[in-house]
Amino acid sequence: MDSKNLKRIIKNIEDLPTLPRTVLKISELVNNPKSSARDLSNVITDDQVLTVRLLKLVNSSFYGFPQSISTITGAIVLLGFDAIRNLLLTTSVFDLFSNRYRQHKDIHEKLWDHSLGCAIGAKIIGTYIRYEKIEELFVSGLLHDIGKIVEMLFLPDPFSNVMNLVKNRNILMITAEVEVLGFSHPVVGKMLAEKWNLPLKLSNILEYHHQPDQAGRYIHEASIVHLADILCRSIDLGSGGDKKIPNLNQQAWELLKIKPNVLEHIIQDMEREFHDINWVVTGKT
Amino acid sequence: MLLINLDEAKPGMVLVKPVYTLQDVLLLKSGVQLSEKNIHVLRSWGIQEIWVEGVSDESRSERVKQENELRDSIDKALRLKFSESLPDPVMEEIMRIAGNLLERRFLEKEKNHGFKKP
Repeated sequence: MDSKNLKRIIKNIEDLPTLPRTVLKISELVNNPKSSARDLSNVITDDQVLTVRLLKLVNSSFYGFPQSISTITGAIVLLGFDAIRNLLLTTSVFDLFSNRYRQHKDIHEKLWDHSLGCAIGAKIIGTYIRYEKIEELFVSGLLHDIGKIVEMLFLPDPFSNVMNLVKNRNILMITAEVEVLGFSHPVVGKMLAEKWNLPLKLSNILEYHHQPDQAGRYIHEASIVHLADILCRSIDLGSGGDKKIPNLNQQAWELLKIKPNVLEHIIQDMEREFHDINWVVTGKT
Repeated sequence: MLLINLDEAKPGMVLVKPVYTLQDVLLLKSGVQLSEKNIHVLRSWGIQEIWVEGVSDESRSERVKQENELRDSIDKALRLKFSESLPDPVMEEIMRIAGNLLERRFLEKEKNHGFKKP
């Protein structure tokens, strides 16, 4: 492992953007069993942008509620605390990295599309196998490649070398990362998740989305994100930075017990929802 | 649209141009669907050719050729992309589904922007 680069990342990780104060406050409230829907609603409505986004999201076909929801309290009651936290996390993460970096702007945008595709994929797979907390899957999918963004921001030159190697030899990005940097984006993603005090489950999924069978008690979640990653690459929803598809982990596939004929429905749902939700999350109207 | 010999005319075909006699008398208007009876009338007036709706065999086979080429290039790109994760029955299936979807996505786009190779 090239410890010089990793040390540089660790040192710089102190400079990594923190989550907006409102989101941190909301996170605390959600973790506190004594909080009420009104407490949460008060914090959210203090922030106009979050309020508008939250209402847009709950009224999108992503949730498909039959009637429109016009108040934050209404949204909280319908979706629950955890879901609200995850939604806000989702939209804030998009802000954190937008327009910060010019050298790799094109890759940056495609990577976000890929992340969004993976998030939607994870959510849809979760729905088909009746996983309970699909918002968690959504956030995991969205953040699964965040390590690549961190590399892009903090190691721009080595990152260019990684991209060149990917292009010249047409290999997976993770292979090129190990060759050039000596480590890869799953480890970096985990470091960021720890810095942000995100739940252990989430940092675990980020760390093992390429080797879900090693994710221990979160093997189910890591397997879902692993499959979603493969599926959204197969239908070109954005780009993970390379033009290859990772190996399907056999243990992950067997664990999920997805029938091959369901795959077609999952992929079609992904295509449809991707085009539907893109504008909601990125705020492009 | 197609110019056909009256001998090839069949009931159900739709005229895209009006049919006149040699003396410029209108026999049938554009948009009329041909029946056995009016084909007989056209024949008795000595009409030899008519314009009907449809796609010529030439442009149809050109179209089929284009679509086959499209599918070939999609499949080729997918094979390269999946090269490291094959052979695996599940990945084969994912590749097949992705191929269908990418083709459909392309043809949808083409409807709005005209045919271009991917």
